[in-house]
Amino acid sequence: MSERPFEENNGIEQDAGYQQTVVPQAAPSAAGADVDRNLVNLSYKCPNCTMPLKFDNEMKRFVCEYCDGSFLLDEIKDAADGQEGYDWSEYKEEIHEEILTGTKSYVCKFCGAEIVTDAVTSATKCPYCGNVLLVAESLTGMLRPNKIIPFEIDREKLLTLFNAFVKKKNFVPKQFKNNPVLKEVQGVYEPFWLYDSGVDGQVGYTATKTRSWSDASYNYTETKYYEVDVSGEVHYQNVPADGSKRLDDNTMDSLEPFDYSKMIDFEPGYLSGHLAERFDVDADANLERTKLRMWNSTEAQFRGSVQGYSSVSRKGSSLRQFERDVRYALFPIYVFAIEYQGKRYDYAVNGQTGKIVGELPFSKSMYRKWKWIRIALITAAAYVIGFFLN
Amino acid sequence: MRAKRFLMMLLAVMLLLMTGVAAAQDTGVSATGSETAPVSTDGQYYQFSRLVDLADYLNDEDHEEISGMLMDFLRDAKLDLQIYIIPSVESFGCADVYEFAERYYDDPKYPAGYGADRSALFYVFETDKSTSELLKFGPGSITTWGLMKGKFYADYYMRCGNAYDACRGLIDRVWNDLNRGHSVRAARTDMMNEANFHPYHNEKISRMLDFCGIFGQSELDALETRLTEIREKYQMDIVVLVAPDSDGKTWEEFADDFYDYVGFGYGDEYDGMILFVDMDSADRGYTITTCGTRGQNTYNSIVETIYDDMLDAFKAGKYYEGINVYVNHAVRRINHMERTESFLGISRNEIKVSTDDDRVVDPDEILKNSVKKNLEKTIKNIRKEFGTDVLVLAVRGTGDYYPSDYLYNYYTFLGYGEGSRQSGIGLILVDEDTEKAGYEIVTFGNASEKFDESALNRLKSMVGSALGSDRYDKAAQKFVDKTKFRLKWGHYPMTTGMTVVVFLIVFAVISIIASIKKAANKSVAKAVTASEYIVPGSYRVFNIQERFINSKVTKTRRVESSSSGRSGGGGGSHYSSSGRSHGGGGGRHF
Repeated sequence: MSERPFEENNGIEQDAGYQQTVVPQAAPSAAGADVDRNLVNLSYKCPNCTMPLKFDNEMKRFVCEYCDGSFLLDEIKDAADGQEGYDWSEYKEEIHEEILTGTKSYVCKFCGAEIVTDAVTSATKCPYCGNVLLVAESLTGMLRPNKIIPFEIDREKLLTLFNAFVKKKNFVPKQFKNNPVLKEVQGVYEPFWLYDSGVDGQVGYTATKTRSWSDASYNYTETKYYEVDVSGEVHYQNVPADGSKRLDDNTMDSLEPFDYSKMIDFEPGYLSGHLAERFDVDADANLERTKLRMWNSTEAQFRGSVQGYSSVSRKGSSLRQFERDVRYALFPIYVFAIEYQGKRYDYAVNGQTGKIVGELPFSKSMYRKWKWIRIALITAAAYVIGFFLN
Repeated sequence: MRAKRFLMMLLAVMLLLMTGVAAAQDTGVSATGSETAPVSTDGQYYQFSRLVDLADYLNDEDHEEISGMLMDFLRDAKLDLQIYIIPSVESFGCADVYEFAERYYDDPKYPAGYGADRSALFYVFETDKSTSELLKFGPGSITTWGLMKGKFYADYYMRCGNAYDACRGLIDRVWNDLNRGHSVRAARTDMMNEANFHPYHNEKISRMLDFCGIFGQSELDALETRLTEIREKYQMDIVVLVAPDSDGKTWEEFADDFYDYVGFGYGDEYDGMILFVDMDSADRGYTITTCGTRGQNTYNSIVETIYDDMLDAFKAGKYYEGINVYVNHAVRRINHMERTESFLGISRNEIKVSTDDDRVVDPDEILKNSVKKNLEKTIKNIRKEFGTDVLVLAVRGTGDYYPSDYLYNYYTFLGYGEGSRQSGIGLILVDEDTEKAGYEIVTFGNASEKFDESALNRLKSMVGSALGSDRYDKAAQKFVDKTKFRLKWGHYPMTTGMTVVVFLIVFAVISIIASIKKAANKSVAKAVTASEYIVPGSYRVFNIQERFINSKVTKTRRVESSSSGRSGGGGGSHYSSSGRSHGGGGGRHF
């Protein structure tokens, strides 16, 4: 497969090595060899000329490069299955382990090649024609997501975002800063579970009030000890948790927050041009993780109500969740890697907000230089100030 | 009645001899009173005002409050405390305050006293004369010291025209003495105003005040006689106060107040000094404070010597010996500073050094020649550039003189100094055959303005640290160098220690900031809260319940400034609550 021109110009190096397993089963056809995959959608055909439509992130419409037609999702929705989102609060009775494991084989609707993916793939790229395929059975029935946040950041902007991100950081080697090459760039809709829950209960605190006074010889401090109990409730909505084993949970946590005001009901058409996965971590597995987050925040809320004390320390709590609900959603994520001095640095980008997370290389020499120059300057300044104020 | 009159007179004589303040003997007046007059006793309190204010010192509201306090005091202390603020006892047809008190003690209509013993205290303040007496009737358990404190605080506020705090102060001190406590209500009115204090000289009162009985009568008599002689000969009031506590104040605060309120001091500036011995077992020690220009000038620089010399005797319980050390030092100091007509056989103005004479005087060859040469060169520059003379005096001993007196006399008798005020600064190094080498620094003329108290103390500290053991050259060099630096820049250079401290602080702060910046390069972190997903307005508090468990009070001794620190030396100026300036302070525990 030939290199895309933008990859050399904008520093983004394209690579198909994303974690999905894509195995070619037949000779590739000539179709779509150099097509920008971000602008290709093979799931929908143009109602006018039947050629493939692409989804334009900026226009928020499907466009046809052949007849210049543009369409809203509703206008081409005939191709979609029209299913409603599944009620995930009942999922446990329906999901079986086997449907989340193993491999699946499909035939590309555009070039006819047979491709094999793992069971969690919802949208993948045909390695022969480069078009993106939606895996219908991963997006229907009980596996159909309830919600989706579409990509708002174009792939071309990643380098700009990364440069802005790295510019604000200290002690990053100049060679890395000045010429980053983004490799293995993938835009993928990542599965997330969204939890709703109320939390109520009681938190106990040990609190003190102090007052001080003096006479001619002594300073006195009176400390009064109290036990304070606060009871109340608080409700949470859409607390996210990563539903995929492939990406690190902490990395996904760090990409928060997503702007839920732009979260919409799932339609397969939004997957066009991007890879997508379905969950392989069920909702129960994240319950404890999200519960701890909610409890920590609940205790913080309760703590804010304990006012007027000199010190407050938590003694214990008794909390419970109620009115729980869960939904399944796909969130837009970019992942890429940068190699520097033989070491790989992985990064993830919130495809909606552009927030970047990941570890940057560290220059010890810059660190030492930064530190000692300031120590020397400030010490000298302090000495000069001390000289005149002494 | 004649017998009672006799007892009252006897009491008055004892007061004059002992304190001049209050009737002190528990065997004092035990009035039988009128045979038929009923008195207050348990459950029976005669409701007449114990406060008589014919001078209108109190407004109606304060009058009512103090009257209420005195009734409460009667009930709680079982002691009838009565306060009389009157123009004079003569206006009542009484010859003296004792006759006045006796008359109202036995008033058939308002009999004073509590219980069968008819215990009572009468505080009588005569506004025309601004004098008072605190008289005790019946046995009671109040101590002489309690009476003393109550009276001198009441007198102080009365003389300031603040009758309200005078009455409260009296009630508090008497109550505290009965209950052996030290908590006193703060005065309502701030009287830290010299304009409100009217100092007076109390010639009658004893200068040897022992409220703890640590001296025998013969010792008291001997010391009293000696202090009187000193006062008459040198016009300096030397006072010794031995008390069971410091009334909740610091030693020097209490000594200053006591000196002022009781009326010590000689002449217009109330020259003198007081040794206060606090026998409180929790805080036993002593301090010396001074008053008046002569008192302060002649004392501050030798305070450490006096404290040290007294310490062994006080630790051994030889208080009489310790007091004599103090008195000897005081006399010696007065003699050296003010009575010396000649010094080392030289009369005043007999010899005057020229501008070319050496400023490093080292008759015993203590300093190296090369060092002396450098010092002379630097001093010459200092004199030329800053108009301040510098004298370095190195001697093997100072004889009977304190080092500071030796230097002072050497400088003034030989006429060192620049300008009409003989401005300059001097260092004396004393190479005595002792473990610790001695040194002292003294300023003259307007040099004392360039080297204020803290600057002088710091210079002493720097020279002292350089001196160590047998390092006179280094100490002299440091003295001259630091003097020049201060005269040039108005301050001293930052010390090596300070530089190191600054470096360490900067190093720590920058390292922390660098670590934070370094950590920011790792942006992956587990989410532990969900605050941003709280539904707005969904937080509801059902109940907040508070239960009191217990309380604890801790007390720590206040850190005092270096100029008045107890464990350190004295020498700083401070002010009593009258607003008057005092010197000395510090002290020693024993």
